[in-house]
Amino acid sequence: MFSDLVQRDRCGRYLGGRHHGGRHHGGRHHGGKSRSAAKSRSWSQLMISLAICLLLAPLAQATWQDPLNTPAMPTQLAHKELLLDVVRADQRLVAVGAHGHVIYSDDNGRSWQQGQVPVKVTLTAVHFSSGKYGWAVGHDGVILHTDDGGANWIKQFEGFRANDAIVAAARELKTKREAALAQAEASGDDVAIEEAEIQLENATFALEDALYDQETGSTKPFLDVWFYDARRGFAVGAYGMAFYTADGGQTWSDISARIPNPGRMHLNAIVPVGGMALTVVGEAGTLVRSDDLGANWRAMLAPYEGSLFGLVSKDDQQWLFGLRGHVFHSTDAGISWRELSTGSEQTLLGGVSSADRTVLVGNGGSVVMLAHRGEKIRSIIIEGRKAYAGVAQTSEGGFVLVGENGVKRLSASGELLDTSISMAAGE
Amino acid sequence: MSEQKHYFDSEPEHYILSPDTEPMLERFLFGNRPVVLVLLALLTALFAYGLTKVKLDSSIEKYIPLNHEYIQNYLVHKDDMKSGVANVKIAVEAVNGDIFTKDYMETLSKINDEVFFIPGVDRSGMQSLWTPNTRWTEVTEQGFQGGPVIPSTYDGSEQSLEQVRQNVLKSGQVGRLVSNDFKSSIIDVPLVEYDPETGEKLSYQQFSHDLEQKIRSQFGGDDYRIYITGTPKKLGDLLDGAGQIAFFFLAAMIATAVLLYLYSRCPKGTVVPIIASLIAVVWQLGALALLGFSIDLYSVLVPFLVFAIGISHGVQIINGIAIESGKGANREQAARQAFRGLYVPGMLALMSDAIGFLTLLFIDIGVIQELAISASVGVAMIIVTNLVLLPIVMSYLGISRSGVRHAEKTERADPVLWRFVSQFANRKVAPVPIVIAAVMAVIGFQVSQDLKIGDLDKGAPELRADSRYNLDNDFMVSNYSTSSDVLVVMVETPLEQCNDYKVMDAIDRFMWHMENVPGVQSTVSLVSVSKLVTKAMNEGNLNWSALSRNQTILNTSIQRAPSGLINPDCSMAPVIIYLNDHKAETLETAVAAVEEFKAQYDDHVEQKYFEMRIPQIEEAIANGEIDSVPVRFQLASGNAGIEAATNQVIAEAQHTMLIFVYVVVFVLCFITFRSFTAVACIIIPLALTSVLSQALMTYLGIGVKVATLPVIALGVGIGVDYGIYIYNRLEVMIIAGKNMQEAFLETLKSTGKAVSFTGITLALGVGTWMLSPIKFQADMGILLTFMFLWNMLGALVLLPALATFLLRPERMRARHRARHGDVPPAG
Repeated sequence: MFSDLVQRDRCGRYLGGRHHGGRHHGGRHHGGKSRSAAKSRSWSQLMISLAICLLLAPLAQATWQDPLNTPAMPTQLAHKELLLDVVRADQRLVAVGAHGHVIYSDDNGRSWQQGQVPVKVTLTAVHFSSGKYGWAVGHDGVILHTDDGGANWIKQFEGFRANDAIVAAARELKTKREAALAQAEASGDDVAIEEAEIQLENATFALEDALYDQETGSTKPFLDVWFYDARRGFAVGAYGMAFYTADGGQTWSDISARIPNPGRMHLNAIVPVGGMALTVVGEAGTLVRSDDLGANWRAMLAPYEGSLFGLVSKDDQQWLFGLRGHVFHSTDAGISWRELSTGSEQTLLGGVSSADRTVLVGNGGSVVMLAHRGEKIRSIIIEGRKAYAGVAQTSEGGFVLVGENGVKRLSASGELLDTSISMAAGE
Repeated sequence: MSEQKHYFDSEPEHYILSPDTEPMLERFLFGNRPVVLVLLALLTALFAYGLTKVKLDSSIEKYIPLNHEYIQNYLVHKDDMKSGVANVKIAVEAVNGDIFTKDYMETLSKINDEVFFIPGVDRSGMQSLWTPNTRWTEVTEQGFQGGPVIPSTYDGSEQSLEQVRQNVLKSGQVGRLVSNDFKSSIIDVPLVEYDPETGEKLSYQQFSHDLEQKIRSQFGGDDYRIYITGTPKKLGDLLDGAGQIAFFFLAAMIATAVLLYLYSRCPKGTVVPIIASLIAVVWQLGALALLGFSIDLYSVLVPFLVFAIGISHGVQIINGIAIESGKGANREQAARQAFRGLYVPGMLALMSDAIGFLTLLFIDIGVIQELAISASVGVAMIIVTNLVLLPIVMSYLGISRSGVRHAEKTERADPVLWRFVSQFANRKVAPVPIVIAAVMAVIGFQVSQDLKIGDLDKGAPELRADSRYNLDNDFMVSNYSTSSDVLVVMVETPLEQCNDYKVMDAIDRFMWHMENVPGVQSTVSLVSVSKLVTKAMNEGNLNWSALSRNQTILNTSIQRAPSGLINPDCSMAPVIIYLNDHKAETLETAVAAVEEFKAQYDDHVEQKYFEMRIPQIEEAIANGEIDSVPVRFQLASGNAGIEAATNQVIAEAQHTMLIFVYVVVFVLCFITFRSFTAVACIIIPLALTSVLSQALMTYLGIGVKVATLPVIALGVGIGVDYGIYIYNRLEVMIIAGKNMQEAFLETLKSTGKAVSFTGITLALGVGTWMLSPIKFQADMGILLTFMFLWNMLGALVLLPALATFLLRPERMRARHRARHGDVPPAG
């Protein structure tokens, strides 16, 4: 009996699937220690202990595993469940959403199949640099990668590692700011000292928050992902989180310090705006731009103080959209903006541009269609008034919308296609 | 074996107790008739006093299997989940147009005010478009904005109606308070179970009547229709329906009296059995009331049964007395002879009934167990009232001359019908019914393989599909995004830990697991609220519709969760699973899916860890006793959960019960008749009826449920009476030296006539139940009618056919001579 108990106890620790938690500041520890302990053991050791555990002590323990280590459940309902983004990779449509769902369709959204995903966390965004290579990001700071067009995914990054990186970066930044303050004090310039003090204060808060997250195992969601090619890519997210990779996602580094975002606002979307230029939009009118593929960023004057959820760019035209149906149009590649009247007060969350029109989707079933030439604006409400978060154009010219209740299809002119949408049985 | 004493010039062929005690009983009863009558009168007075204590019981708990694991789990959290039970929804539909008209809003406001003042309404919890707790919210650049759906500036103008329409859309109440087609809206009315002023328990029946009078008749009409659903309303309707049973009882009694007079042509022979049977009913009701039992929707049917069985035995006695009188016996002798000839089969039959009913105790559901006890007590009363009181009274009154003449006439007469039926005791004809019975048994068995457990109809199964309540329920289900079939799984954690991230994530998985199960429509829990609020706190951005690992965010997100989704000390969070229907298969699939999930995710740690507080839990985790906050998923509550438990209890009990009923009948018959062949003749027709009634249930789509399971026991118990009487008489005739067919013809003319009379009379009596507005009473009526008739046919057709091949008349006569010498059998 006793040996049983001992064994049972060790199983929990070896497998590291369960986290020893405790309450702290109303938060929860999320066993970074037990995880790294498991990691440091060799594979064979792990397999042996796994075998022993399976043999000896299965009864007392439930097998709750961290969502980051739990594969998405096979389902035939993913196309009706919450989906948050959809993109086209060559002819294929790929959508991501709740419960670690990644589904893809090769017939313009009529029938879908589920990809194999190693996590069950909610995925918020997906991007393909080519037909084969794609990345998906989501809650708990997860970054997934596929090299077969979306059928199989591996986990490249997760929130606990993000926390470690953020803490390291925050420490570095704080040191830098301390040095800057020392320098300013040495110079005796009062304005510079005050500025440096504020900067240091912000950096101190950022480090405190990062440490809190690290200690309690809180994670932050990524909200968008974009890759320039198969190696260089960005993932942005909540509270100003921003990561960059130059090796196709093998390693990710925190670049949030490069982005002018003192309030650590949510970064909702990252969008290429031609050549090496990038724009990131976010909470409370956050609008930043880089012209050198993310090496340097500058804050832009946003035409609106409310939150921005996305930007659609087509040649030198841009459409910026956000809270309560606000849409701004630029014909000079984002230098000047003019507000468009869409006739809708529903928050717009996603958009896509086709050859002759831009389609924006959002809460309350709202779809706004904007003609590229001329001023024609069409606002429609999709029956059921469910929220939509993403839209992509099909190879037939129609549109596929995803949101609260899964997939919907629209014709090129914006009519709801009531053809049935199906999903193949998962494996 | 010592020489048997012979006390009389005839004696029963068999004894239940011993050859000495039973004649002694007869001598005592008939030797002290005044004393016996006075004793019985005193008893009747006592039980009549008991009648004043009879009370109706409307508690819901008696209808559910209280000892079932699911129900035990539910009872632990009963108080936390009370809010959802006593709740009524009133939908007001605009027949022409939609709800956004001045007139509709005015009417709704009036109804709202009227409902507000109905006693029993929990006024603070009421919700409708007109109550201030119905609000809209939206996210703006400055944060949240909101207000009541009907603004304070509302004046009925087009603009303000448009304002209401916009607010309704923003409120998220479409599908909840406002129907999906905007043609109706709901007033949600929670009830207080006890009157805060008087402390009295709320009468659902009175509340239901109030709703009908003050709301439906006053406001319902051509322009507006009113629909009312909710458990209290259903109970009110059921109790109203139960009241109609009294009329059925009266109708059955009058029909019986008329038929009995036509049968006996003797006023005394008509009135006395009816009065004796009514006395049995008084005894049964009074005795149980004195013992503290109350009447419910099932036991209200027992007086019927007692009356019917009483008449059935009374007719046999009257029949026997008439025959003896016809032979020239005086009043006392005739009564005594009839008693001697019939008390053994009568006792045997009634004991089989009583013990057969007691097998219902195997079903661990309050109403069925009380039904078992009250039916058994009732049948035991009949032994006294109809086998003792009736012949003693008749020994004073005697059968009237017209009755004796009628009995003589029918006995002498040679009706074609009985001639024809007696053919079944002919060796050439007998194989026909046997083969037909065998074929029917095989087919019936095949058909009954599809017999389902549980309720098969949608809506409230207790009421008819076309009842007002079920029509209202249909309206709600088809126009609002709700289902009336709800399975609730209670997620248990230690105190204050229901919002732990691991727990919330496990609930999240569980919900998605269940949503993938066929028959599940949707699920709701604390996790749904958390995701919704987290999203709302992030400007309504759908990307945030997920659980946060940040405990502070998690806590904030459920701060305002409805009380029905979290208990006050955060140790239990129910997951509400909406099902397509409550068919047994749907329930089984859903419950199996829950069990599957439990098997993987329940923490099987000792109970003590669930009772620990946060510091102790942390200590236990630190010590390595447990790995994390324990969690377990407990089945079940909600109507579907309770029904799933009930179905399980019934599925387990139904075979046990059937086996025991047959064992009881077998043992009692064997002890009495001491012959396997006799027992076979009696039991095989019964078994055929059991098989065929199951096939009938399959055919009619009636499931095995709380209401129909007792019928199986009742059917066997009552059916055996016929076989026993027929066999008893047949045996007497065989011993008298007649050949099989002649013996059976004689049996038919006397006992057979009585059996067919009672079979038809009783079938008519219980047949009236089919008119009951209560579905399960109607189902019971159908099945009992079928069983009475079919058991009668079995005793009249299959029994003689079997007897023709199984009985050995020579051996029976030899045994009679050995035991009784020259004394002829009584009867």
